[in-house]
Amino acid sequence: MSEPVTREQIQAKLTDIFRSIFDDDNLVLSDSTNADDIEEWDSLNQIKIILACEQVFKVKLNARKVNTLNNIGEMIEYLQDALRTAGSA
Amino acid sequence: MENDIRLVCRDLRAIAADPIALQRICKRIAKEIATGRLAGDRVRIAVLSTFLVDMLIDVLRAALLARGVVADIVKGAYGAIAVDLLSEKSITRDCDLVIVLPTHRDLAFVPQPGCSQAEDNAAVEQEVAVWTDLWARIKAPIVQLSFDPPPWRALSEGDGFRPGGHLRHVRCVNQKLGELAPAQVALVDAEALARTVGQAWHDARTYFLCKQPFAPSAVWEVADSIAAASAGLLGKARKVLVLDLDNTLWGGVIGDVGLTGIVLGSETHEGEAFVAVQRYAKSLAARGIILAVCSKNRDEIAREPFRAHSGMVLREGDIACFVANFEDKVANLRRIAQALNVGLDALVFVDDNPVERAWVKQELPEVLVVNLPDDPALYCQAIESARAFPTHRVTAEDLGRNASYRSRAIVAEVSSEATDMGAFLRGLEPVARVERVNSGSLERIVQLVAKTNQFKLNPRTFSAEEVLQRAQSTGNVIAVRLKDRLQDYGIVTVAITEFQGEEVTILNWVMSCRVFSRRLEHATLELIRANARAAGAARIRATFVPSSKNAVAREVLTELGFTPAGDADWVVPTVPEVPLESHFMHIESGEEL
Repeated sequence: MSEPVTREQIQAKLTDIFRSIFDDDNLVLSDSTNADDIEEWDSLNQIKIILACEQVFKVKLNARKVNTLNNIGEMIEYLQDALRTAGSA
Repeated sequence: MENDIRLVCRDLRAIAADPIALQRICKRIAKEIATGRLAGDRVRIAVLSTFLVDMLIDVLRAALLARGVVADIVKGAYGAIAVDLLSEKSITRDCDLVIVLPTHRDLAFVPQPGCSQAEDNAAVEQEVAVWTDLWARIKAPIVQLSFDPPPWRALSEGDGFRPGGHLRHVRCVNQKLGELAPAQVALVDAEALARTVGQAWHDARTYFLCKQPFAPSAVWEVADSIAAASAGLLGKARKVLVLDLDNTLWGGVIGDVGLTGIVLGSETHEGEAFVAVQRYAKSLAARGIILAVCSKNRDEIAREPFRAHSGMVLREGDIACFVANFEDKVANLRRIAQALNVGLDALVFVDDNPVERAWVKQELPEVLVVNLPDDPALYCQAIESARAFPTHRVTAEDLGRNASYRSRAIVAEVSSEATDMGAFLRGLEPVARVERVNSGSLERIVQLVAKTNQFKLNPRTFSAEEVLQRAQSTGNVIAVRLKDRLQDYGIVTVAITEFQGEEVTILNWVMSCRVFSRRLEHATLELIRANARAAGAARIRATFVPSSKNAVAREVLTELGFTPAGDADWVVPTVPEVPLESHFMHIESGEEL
């Protein structure tokens, strides 16, 4: 039985994903970061983020649900839920 | 930075399984290309598709750069292949290459289960006509993905075979498109590609999410196979497979274990693996890839298995250039390229020794070094997956190429000894035969102009129709076959000329590097002069546009007495001021068919 994944761990991995997709090593995510804060965050990059999260966290995400999230804080909570469900399955 | 980028894009396959890392690097490469600083042939490419290609294009750009093509890519509106091509303002108009990417979803005449054989055949004809009509509208060369096998098979195991089967329709249409594709259309086999990619080919989630039919993990294979086909059409296919011997073509070190000690043949599993490698090399040779050997051995010991081992598939006669000595492999690879008269960028190097591979990679970045795994059972796959030798049709010249290069290497050896060049050339008893432009020669003429890189005055190419039309005026298309005591080299030089008032203009002139230093250019200019005299032209004009590879064409123009006359123009009088050295060629005319 693996340890539950913490918010901090998810945020660190998410930061790596964002830095890769936007090719910016100085990019910092906070709970309130949203699509308005990152210039290149368009619908294609949104899909890349979803696909990358699926690859990194090894979970399947609901794209419609992801599109309703307002900021990174909500994204982290959603990923935490998804991981918990995947872990208990 | 530039060299870093080039080396990185060579090794992208290693990170292909990690789409996030792959896309990041490809994005950097795209930025670098956008600066305009990268040297190389810049090519404008249009991508037309019915699915989302944004992720694919980033990787495609990198895969093309790995093949020496610096690509500026424009993409058509999503899902509008035909609409774009039918439009007056088609984005393909100024492009050097058009990439067309449909899927099985674009088939418009899929027959219903239970239809008759005749109805099924008619559906195939209708489907094929759509695409052959579209091809006819594009002037540039085309790389097109064939239709992929659909994910579901309504007719179960009969779907691929029975009338009304969806998969059968896909297969029949692909087959027919392959048969009807003109020389400037290269099809990428989607069925083979789907097999390579496996499960990731049909990824319903990704498709519904963003209309990319395959998973992110498949993007590399798709991009690389399209890049390879594109490189083939752009004349960037590699030409020579250079093979090490010990532990590459047989197991063990022959200098230590002797002829009877090497592992080769069906007696052992490892011996079988080496036989398979040799068979694979032989099959490549049979379709025109030149084989060379580069081994650290004593020459006579290295040749022994080729002469006396029953397990050998390759014979000495299969190897166009055989180099076995104890010198540095970098020097030997240079020597091989020189003897075969090809660039280092035509070579693919296969060696089991990682130290040799690393050394060659570092010293000769132009050479493609295959990342050979430890297990010889995986060698063929490693060579194949490099996609170094793209071809979409095999010509008669391809089939005779190994023999041709073998004698080229012999000529190189002989001529380095012969001190009297004239006597040597005369001794070869050369015959230059002026060929008629007809169905037998047309494809070779078009291909030679398109694919030649070194002796080529300028980038202009000619479609088959244009060559036929120009050939209607006598003497305007000069295609010459060279034969000598050693062999028939096929059509190896083409000059396309045009009469304009007082002058004859050479629109373009190419010559295969296999026949350099044979003074065939003297004979060709003589033919052009004869035509110019007959037409009453006082001067002959040529357009020379320098590229990264055609320096030799400038040298030859100078040698032939051409002088620069402003811009890209070079001229020479119809009646030579100083006679050229004799070419010793007997000139023949091709017969009427």
